[in-house]
Amino acid sequence: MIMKKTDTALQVYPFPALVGQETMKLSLVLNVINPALGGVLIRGEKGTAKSTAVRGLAELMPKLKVVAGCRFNCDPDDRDRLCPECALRDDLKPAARRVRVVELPVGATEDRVLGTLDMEGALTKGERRFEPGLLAAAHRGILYVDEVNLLDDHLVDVLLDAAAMGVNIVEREGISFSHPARFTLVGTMNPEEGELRPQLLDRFGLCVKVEGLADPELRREIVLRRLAFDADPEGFATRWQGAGRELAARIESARDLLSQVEVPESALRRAVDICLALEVDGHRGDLTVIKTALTLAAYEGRVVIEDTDIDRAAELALPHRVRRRPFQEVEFGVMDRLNGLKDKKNPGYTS
Amino acid sequence: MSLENPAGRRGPDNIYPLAALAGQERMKLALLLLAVDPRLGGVLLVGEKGTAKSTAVRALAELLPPLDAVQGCRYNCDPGRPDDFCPDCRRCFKLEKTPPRVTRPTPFLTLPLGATEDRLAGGLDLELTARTGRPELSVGLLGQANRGFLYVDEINLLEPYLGHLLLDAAESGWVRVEREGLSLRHPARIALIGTMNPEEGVLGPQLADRFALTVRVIGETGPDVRAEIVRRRLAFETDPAGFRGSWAGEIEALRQRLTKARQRLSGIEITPQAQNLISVLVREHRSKGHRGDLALARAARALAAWQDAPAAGEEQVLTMADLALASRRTEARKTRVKAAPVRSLTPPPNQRFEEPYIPPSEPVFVPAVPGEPESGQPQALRLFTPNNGFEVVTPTSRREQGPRERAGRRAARQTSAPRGRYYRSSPERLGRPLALDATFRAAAPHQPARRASKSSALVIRKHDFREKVFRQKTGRLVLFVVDASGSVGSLDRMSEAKAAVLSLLGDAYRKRDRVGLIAFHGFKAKVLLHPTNSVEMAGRLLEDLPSGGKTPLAAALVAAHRLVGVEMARDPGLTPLIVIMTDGRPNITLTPGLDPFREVLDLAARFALDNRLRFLLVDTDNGHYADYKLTRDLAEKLHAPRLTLEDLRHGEFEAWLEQIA
Repeated sequence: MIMKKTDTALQVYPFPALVGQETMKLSLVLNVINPALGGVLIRGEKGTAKSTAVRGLAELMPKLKVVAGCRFNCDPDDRDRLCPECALRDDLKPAARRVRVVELPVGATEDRVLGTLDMEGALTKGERRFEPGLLAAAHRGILYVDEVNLLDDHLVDVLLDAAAMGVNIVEREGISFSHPARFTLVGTMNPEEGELRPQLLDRFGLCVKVEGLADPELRREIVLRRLAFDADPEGFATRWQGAGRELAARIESARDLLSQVEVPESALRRAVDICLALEVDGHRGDLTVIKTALTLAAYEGRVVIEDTDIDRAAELALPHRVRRRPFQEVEFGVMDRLNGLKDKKNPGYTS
Repeated sequence: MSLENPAGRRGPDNIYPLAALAGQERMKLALLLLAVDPRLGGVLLVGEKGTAKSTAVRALAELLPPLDAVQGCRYNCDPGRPDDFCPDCRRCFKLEKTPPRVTRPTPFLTLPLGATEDRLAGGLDLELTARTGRPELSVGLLGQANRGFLYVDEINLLEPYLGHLLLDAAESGWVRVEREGLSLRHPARIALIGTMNPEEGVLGPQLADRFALTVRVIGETGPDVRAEIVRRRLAFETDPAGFRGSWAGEIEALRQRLTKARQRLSGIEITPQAQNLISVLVREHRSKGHRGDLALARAARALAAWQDAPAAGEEQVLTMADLALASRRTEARKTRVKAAPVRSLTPPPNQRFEEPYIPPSEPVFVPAVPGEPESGQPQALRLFTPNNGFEVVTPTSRREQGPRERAGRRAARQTSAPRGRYYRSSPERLGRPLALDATFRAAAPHQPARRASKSSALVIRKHDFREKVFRQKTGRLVLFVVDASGSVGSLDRMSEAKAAVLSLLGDAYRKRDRVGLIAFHGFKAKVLLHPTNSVEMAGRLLEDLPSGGKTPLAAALVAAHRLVGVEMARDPGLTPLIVIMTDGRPNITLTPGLDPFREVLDLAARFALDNRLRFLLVDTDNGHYADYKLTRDLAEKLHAPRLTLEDLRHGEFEAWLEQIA
């Protein structure tokens, strides 16, 4: 009985079976194609399938080449970024497994996130060994924080540290250790429960909003599918397997194409002009717009960025970076706003 | 042990070269000058997110010339300076012996925000001590970084306790270790590099003062520079090794220039004119203490060395003045906010109550209403009972309305006492979680004795137990009580008052305080916003706030009182700040038949008895009816400064917050 329950819990709702919420799904897929995008922040009310979408993502993940037996998911081909254990290995035997979605619960303790002193090693051998934490598990994968705005302040601090450097540096509990920790940060939040700290907000590459669907037809479809899933999770998953494989294949080919996509000078200028016109802080916005546009093009099988790619990318990458007054909300529809600006004055943005 | 690796040191192929950073000239210069003369002490980079602060800092490491150190020394002791020897070197190399030299890379270490005390200052080496039975030190970051650099990203978020340790070392250049059976002193001459985003909070003045140079980093605004930044970054990310290869010449040139500048530095003097200029500039900036003079003089010398100038002249001083002095400027602040009178537990002799005076220690805190669980902590004051004529509406918070899972999590939050950051341990047994590392270390020296009969395992005794000491970073609670009655609204001051609250909320938010909002008009005082850090919510609610009707000020005081009571029960250390914005014309009472003014003053006086509370009264009436109104009396009863909306525009609220902190 207990076994059965666990099995059901493990069966996640298939990603392609999600109805609507196209922007959210697109933002997640883009991050799977290009982990350098920096993740996505999903804002919206309860019950809009935010978590379901993220958990369903795991099935679409491409295979990852790792060092066999490495506790830190090292890449055997990236010799500059090996964990201290792999650095001592003579040969790095490769192994393959899926990219992971690692969930960081808001109530996690710091030692679980960063890693801690290995108690067993200390007790049985009197040795000081490092026991990896969630950041190690999430290396080269997705780190998912549900209700990221409720995350304890001190966890936000350590997360910022790791996210900024791509390295988890542990100097605690008698341990001095560091290992690579580059992860795609995916967070969901309900803005009514509190805003994110500015520094953490900026760490998310993209930002999308989800809303409950208004169309009664779609709502009906959501309920029907959910009921079908609950009644027979395995059967439901099997029925959607084809769609899942198709999407996974499309992601694979987009990944391969990514390095070939070119950024014409005009597209680069367009991205910079948009960011300047919208008074985006810092330079991360410019860069993320370009990278997102690259990824969009690859996803659609093209090797040259078009102007529309930049505009669509701006909608995904800039809502949370546009300068706001103290109480202004994160506003979506940045291109509309830009066009409004353009009417008023000449922002140097040419369409 | 074999697994240890120097923190933060990575293959150079991941480092974006400093030479390839487009723009941000002042930031690059400040970092390079610190490398020329590490005795500057430190460089602080303050700026918005995404302006390549961290990238620049990490790029500095590869440019640093190597250093001569005593072979085998864990503190990188300088063989030429026996006065600064660590205890090990002092023991091994008496003055007659010449220590063997070795060349090693200049230490460049990162202090992560999650660090614990033992790793920063040094602690007992578990393995070594367990083997030998003698306390052996595992050198902390401060020791490892001796004669090198220590980098703290987001330094304004650093645990204050660790900040103090850092400060101590920075002041003296030495670290005293007196813990876990260790007693020693070792050198720690460290150049600090800090980065921070001011949106996340301020840096303590003492720590800020340790940085000789402070750079305000602003994103480049020229489209050409911005495009170039993106272009280079993309190229780097696509092919880091190739990108670095194409910049190899520039990297090497910087490295050599740095080495030469260092050699020149000792020969550089400051011209008398430049010395005069320094004193003039320092006086002009009203810089406190002499650190400004020193920083400017050193920076000018370093700059001269960097530019290969014969001496540090006026030109160099002027170039560096801003970076060395701007952050030290002390504004001659208008001190219109008078210090709140010292609060005593006994009422002033002339203070009169309708009821006999109740000392705050006992019956004022009615522990609990019958039927509610008892608690050791004083619960919310239940001094004011709202009358049927009134309603104090407290909307159920969203979280409480949520599904049960939510309620459970919330309860768990309160019961799990040890929350926050584990930063040190204590032998005191209070039932906190066991600090395994510290416990093991405590047990380590006894291992040879205890092991006699057992295998090689670590033997732990009860008195070895160490518990974790946590600190949770909680901002303060600022509660706004806003008058939305007709008398305010009809005079069209409401929008002005709203704008004032918005800016105050914004300020509180930047300091990571939690804010709450109570509005009152008609027959209600309503909790619009439970303490939260969502300023967006607060803004929206304020926008929609209707106004008009009577002025139930008494009900508002009751609502405020309840709210802070609940919050203080949850967090006994909390000292809430209560900002009351009103024109001070209550016209409806809680208890029928009472004089509304009398009632408000009474409630206020009793409210103010809790000396954990701090009040601020904002008069929304610009003082037209100064003689008629109650705000003056109310402010007095609350021991609160009284400000006008005009004052708020002049930054008096910020001054008040600062003064209270």
